[in-house]
Order: sequence, then C-alpha cells, then structure tokens
Amino acid sequence: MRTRKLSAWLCGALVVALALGVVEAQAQGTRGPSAEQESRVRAVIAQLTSKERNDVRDGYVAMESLDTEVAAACVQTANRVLARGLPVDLATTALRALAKVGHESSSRPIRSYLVHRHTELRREAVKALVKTKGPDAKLGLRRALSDGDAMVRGLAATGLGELGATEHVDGLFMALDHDVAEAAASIGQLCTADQCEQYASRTGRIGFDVMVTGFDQILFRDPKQMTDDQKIRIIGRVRELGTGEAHRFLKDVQGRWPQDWSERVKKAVDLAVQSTQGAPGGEP
Amino acid sequence: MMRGLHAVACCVACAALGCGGGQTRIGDLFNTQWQDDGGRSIAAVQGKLSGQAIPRGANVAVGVVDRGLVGVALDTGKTWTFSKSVDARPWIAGDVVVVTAGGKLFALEASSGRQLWSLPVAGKVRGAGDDGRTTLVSLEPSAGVPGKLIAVERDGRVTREIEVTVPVGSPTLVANHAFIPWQNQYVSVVDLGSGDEVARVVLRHQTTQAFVAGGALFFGEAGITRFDERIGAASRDGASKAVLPDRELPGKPRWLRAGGIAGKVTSDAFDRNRIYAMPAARGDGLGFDEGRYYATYFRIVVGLQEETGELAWARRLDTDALGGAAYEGGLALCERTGRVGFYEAGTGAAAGEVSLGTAVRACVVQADRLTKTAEPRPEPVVEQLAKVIDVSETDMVMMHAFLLRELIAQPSPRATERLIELAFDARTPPDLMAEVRKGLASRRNGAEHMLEALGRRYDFLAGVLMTPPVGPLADALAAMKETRAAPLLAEHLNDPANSTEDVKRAALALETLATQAEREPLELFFSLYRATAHNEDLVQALVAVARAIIRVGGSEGRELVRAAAYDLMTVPSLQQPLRDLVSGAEKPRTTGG
Repeated sequence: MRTRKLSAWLCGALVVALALGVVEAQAQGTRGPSAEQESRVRAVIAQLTSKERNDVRDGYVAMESLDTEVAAACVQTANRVLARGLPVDLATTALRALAKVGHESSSRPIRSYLVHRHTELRREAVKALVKTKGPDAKLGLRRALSDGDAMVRGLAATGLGELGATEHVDGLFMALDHDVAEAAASIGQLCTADQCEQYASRTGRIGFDVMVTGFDQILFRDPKQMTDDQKIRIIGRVRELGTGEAHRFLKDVQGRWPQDWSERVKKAVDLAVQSTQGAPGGEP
Repeated sequence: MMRGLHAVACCVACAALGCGGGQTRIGDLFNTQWQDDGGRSIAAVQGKLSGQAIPRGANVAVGVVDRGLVGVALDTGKTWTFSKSVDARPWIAGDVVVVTAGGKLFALEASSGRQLWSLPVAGKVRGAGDDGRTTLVSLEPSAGVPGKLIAVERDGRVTREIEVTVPVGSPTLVANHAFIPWQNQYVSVVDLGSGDEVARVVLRHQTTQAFVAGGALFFGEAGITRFDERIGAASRDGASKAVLPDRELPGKPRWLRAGGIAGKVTSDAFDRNRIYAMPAARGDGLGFDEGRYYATYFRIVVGLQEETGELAWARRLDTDALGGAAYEGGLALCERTGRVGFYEAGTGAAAGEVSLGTAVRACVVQADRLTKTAEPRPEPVVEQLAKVIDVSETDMVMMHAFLLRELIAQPSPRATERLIELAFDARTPPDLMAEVRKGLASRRNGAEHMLEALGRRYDFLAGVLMTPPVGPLADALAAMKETRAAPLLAEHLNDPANSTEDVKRAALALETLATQAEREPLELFFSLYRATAHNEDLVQALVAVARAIIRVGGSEGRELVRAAAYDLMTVPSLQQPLRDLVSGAEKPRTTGG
C-alpha cells in the first residue's frame, strides 16, 4: 500500500519537475528538453527519491552534471529531499550540488541548514546560498553574520558582498567592528559615498591589512558607482597614514589602474605614491 | 612597692598553705584529685553572689595598628590612641583594656584610652576579667616563667598573684571571685580576698572561657552554661545551657575561640570567619538575644535563626570583618578599614557606624551595654541576597554557594530574576552555575522573567555570547504550564548555540506546551536531526518533538513521523521509538496544549 502511494507521489513529482523544466526552457526561448534529457531527469529524480543513500548521493552528483536548465527540472525534488533531512555526508553532497545548480528556489531549504548544529553543514549552507542567491539567501547570510563559528561569519560577510546585498551594509559594519575581517571587502563593494566615508573613518582603529581589502574594492569600483572625488578622498586617507604598507598598497593600485579610467584619480594615486616614498617600513 | 610585693608574697604563701579566712575551701587549686561534690560548692558560691549585680562593660572597639592601639567609643564615636607597639592582642574587660607592650602590662580606660596603670610582666595577656574594682589578668608562660593570674586594683596595686601550672582558659572576675576554666572541663572559683579555691564545677561540654555578657556570667567554648541557680546541676548536665544549631556554614566558623591563648596582633582566619551571639534568658532556660546568631565570612555577614539556623538576613561589608560583638538587639562588626558597623538583629538593617579612623591589623569589640536604632525600612531578605551574591569574587565562592541555596529557597519572583542574571553571567563559576540551573528548574514563579530570558538568543554581532539557561527554564515553565513559552522554546530548539541537553529539555517541555503555531520550527528540528542526531540527548529530543508534531500536526504530522520512522536514513536508535509512536505502541503522553 505504502509502495503504491510512494510510486504515485514519485510520478507526480516527475511530471511537475518536467513541466517546470519545459516552462523554464520556454520562458528562456529555448527548445524543450529532448527525450534523452527527459530520461536523464527521470533517472536523477528516481535516484534522489530512493531509499538507498548511495542512490541519493548519485542523484545529487548526477544532477550537478546536467545542463543548467535540465538540472532545474530536478531541483524541486532535490530541494524537498534536502528539506526532509539527510545524514551529514549526504546533506553536504546535496548542498554542494544545489550550489552548483544555483537555482534560487533552493535558497530556502538551504537556509534552514544555517541553524544546524553541525558546523560543517552551516559552512556548506553559507557557501551554497552565495550561489543560489535571492532574498532568502541574503537574509540567511545576514543572520549568519551572528553565527558562533568564525568561518561561517566570514563566508557570510563575503557572500553578502558577492550578492550585492546593499541593504545589509549596516550588518557588515557591525561584523567588521566585531573582527569579521571579510566584511571589509564586502563593504568596499557595496558602500554608498557616505558609507564608504564611514568605512574610511575606521582607518587606524582597524588594522590596515583589513582596511586595505575594502579600499581596494572602493577604488576599483565602476566609475558610475563611485565618483572620482570619493576615490580621491580614500586615496588621501591612505596617504595620510604615511606608512610603508600604505605606500605599498598605493603603488599596487598605481600599477593596476586601468589606462582608460580617470586621469584625476590616477594623478592622485601617483602623488600619494610619491609622498609616501621612503615611509617607515616601506621600500628603501 | 616593696610593701605591695610583701603582700603578694604573703597571699601566695597563704594560698599555698590553704589558709581560708573562714571560707569553705575545697582543696589545693588545680588539684586533680578533687572529687565532684555534686555541685554543692558552686551552688553555694552562686547563692552567695546572686545578689551581686554584674556590671556591664564599656562599648568600645579597639584596633591594633603598627604604632599601638586605636580605640573608639561605640556610643559616641570618640576615638583614642595608645602609642606603644603591642606584642599581643588587647583584651577588653569591663571598662578596662589590658595589653602588653615592651615587657609591661598596661591597663587603659576603655572609653578614653587613658592609662590606668602599668606593671612589668613576662608573658602576654591571654585573658582578663574585671568586676568594676579589680582587674584579673591571665598571662601566658614566658621564658621559664610560669603562667600566672594577677589581680590588680584600679590604682595599680597587685592584690593577688597565682601561679598557674595547668592549662587554663580565659578567666573572668565577678565580685572579687575569679572564675578560672581549666583542663577544658573545670571552672574553679577563687576568692581573691582569701586566695582560696572556694568552689569547683565540672562541665559536660568543652569549657575554656569564662565571660560576662549582659549582666550574667557564662562558661563555655562549645556551647555555654550560665552561672545561675541551676549551676549546681552542671555535672549532671542539668545547668542552664545553650548551644547553636548544628548548621553547616561556609568555612565552618566557630563562636568562641579556645581560651587561654594570647591573641596575635594580626588577625587570622578565625577572626574573619566566625560566629557571634549574645546569650539571653529564654523562659527558664537560656537562648540567644532576638533569637539570632551571626556568622561572618570575610566580607559577608549573615543573621541566622537561633532554633533552626535558617538565614534571616545577609549583608555585604566594605572589607573583611576582623572582630565584633553581639549586643542586645544587634551586632557590631569591626572591619579591616577601621569601620565599625551596627546591624539590627532581626533584619540586618544598618543601625549606624563609627570609625577607628585607620585601617587595623586586628580588632576586638565589646558592646555590653549598647543600644542602636536601625533604619526604618530594611530590605527584604531576597533583595539582600540578590545584592550580596557577587560571582566576580572568586575568593568567596563557598559563601556565594551558601547564599545561592538560600536565594533558591526564597519564594519571591525576585529570586527567579536574580538566578537568571547569574545564569547569564559568564563569571559564574561552573559549580555555582550548576546550582543556579538546578535552582531555576525548581522555580514556580517569575514566569515573566523567564520568558524575557528565553527571548534572548546567542548573537555574535550583538555581543550576546551566553545562551539562556534554556533547559532549566523549560522545566520550570512546563511545570507552570506556561504556554507563552512555546514559541520561544521552539526557536531555541533550532539554535545551535544551545547545548543538546538544553535542547532536549526544551523539546520535552514542548511536548506539552506546543501548539499549532509551533509546528514549523518543530518540523524543521525534526527534519534537520532525524538523520544526523549524534547523541542520546538529541534522540530523546526528537522523540519528544515527534510526539508534539503528532499532537499538533494531526494526520499530516503523524505521516511525517511515520515516513521518518521507516526511512533507513533516520538514525537507527530513533527508528524504533518513532515506529512505536506511530503504531500506537507508545501513545502521545499528553493531549492538551
């Protein structure tokens, strides 16, 4: 009786999955799945819903190797299997596979693993969310900034930067002030002019090796996002430090500055390099 | 001077020869061949002295400092100094302070510090008594000179000198009769007029001290016996006796120091950790003033019930208590800083303070006729305990553990609140934390405080690095059937910062408290751990959560549990309990919620 129920449920899942794949393919103006692809999807879903852990593992691994739009047909099932609960090794495999597929619908079931007691699973979940994206992912990463594990916090901070989570810059500042060094680069990626100024004002309070990761991001932000004046102010801040490490950083920026970018900023960098030449701890 | 010495020699000789001057004489002093006379001699002396009022001594605190002594009158706060480097702790006897310094014995007026007399002596003062006219001083043996008792008039004349060849305790003097405890069980009475031992009594508890307090005379060390009309029955254990309750107190403090030993100029552990009590008539018998006795433990003092030893109050001092005295209606304590504070017997309410004006090395206090008025509205004991317990004092752990047990016994919600504060305090030592958690689990009030505490979560960015005591709070709130706890406990199920033991207890509470509203976090927990539970706590938590899911989730909930029960990926130790649950072999334990 139970076997019949399960078969019916599996068939339903398969139909829904394929339909979703078709709809998604149509929406993207591509052709629907081929017979071979349908067959592979069927096989993957059968593996994912198997009672045998090896089959489930193989299902996730197989899903990774599918084309993105075909893999999307398996995602709902893969999400559901993850959400029902898996042993640690399988959950790790599942999180990695879902990360590789990168479907936004996976963010919610992945997010639930951010509260798992197994630290490795929380780390995998954070990494996966960066790939699956979406509001659930951003919210999850924001919460993960408060995690008890330093690596989870660091990965979450980096992830928020990668996801462009400008709404969570305040959280990143809090994280930075609590020694989450990875938050610096993310702030540099996301900050508004005022926020960048707030960031720069932490110079001296937070180690330069950390601050420099954010400065680098700010200086190399698209000129449409960050004006020349704002960049020149940052360069001024770094120059004022007058240290060898400031000099080395400025010189590195000088070397990497795109030729077709602002001449004004370039000049400011040149001057700063010149004025920090011979600073203590710098080049001879 | 020579005439004085002749008189002394004559008296000593007289005593040795046994000339009694018409008094009853029971034999040679300290003669161990003595046969118990059934209390006849001591009863006779009691009868003779019963009409004599025993004067009450001065109210004074005397501190030892490097340059000598400092004193303060407890009634007026007037201070005095004695500028000679002393070699032993001073004794206060009635209105006189006696102390040895540089080979001399000095007597000072207790109220003013004025020198009354001095005598060259060998040995240090190991006890003293005063009857208002004569001061009896017991001196330790020193450099081949045996110990002795000397009686000195106010003008400095020595009227009696008795060599002591047996271990004696601390004597006292009433109406020119010296009461001398010796060999831990006898008290001999010597009429200083004749030099005769006119009575002896054998006591049935360790006795090394004779002292006067509140106009009465007592003998004792472990417990006390009053010198009254029943003293004749002492050897048959029929005298008026009082003992303190046998209550375990931090540091095992004792009330009376072993008598007959000179006190050191620097305070010791006994001084900081000791008991004070003021004997008082209790009907026909003997008890303690206001039904209280007191114990100090460094910077903390507690008032205790005479009968049961139950805590009545607790106070924190600024610095260690080095000495003190119980008086009628309260307790005076002398601290290391020289502050002398007064505390009302019943509630511990502050009743004023005076100061010696300087830090002291040791302190002795007499408050025989002191009266003090306490502040009108003392704090409730639960509030006192909440304030006194300070887990940052790592040297006071024993006392705080004691006070913590007292706090747990308090019925007020304030006790619950304070226990929660202690649970959140990272400085609480592990042993105390275990007590705190145990105490919290047993609380049946203060639900609001508990709910507020459960609302807090581990949050690295917010600087909340301690989780609430989820397990104990879950136990307490479940016992109180506090359904408002359900959503908070459900959240804690899924907080990895909580210990698995706490999670288990939260799950057990949710078994009865959860409602439909908690279904989502319950199911999340069940899903996350049914295949990853790595210890018995989590397995038990999962079974409890499964019960809750079945109860609040109806057929869907039961189906979820059933699927897990027969899924091979569910941890093996969980499968059978879940199968029992869904098959009805183990029915849900509750239906309410």
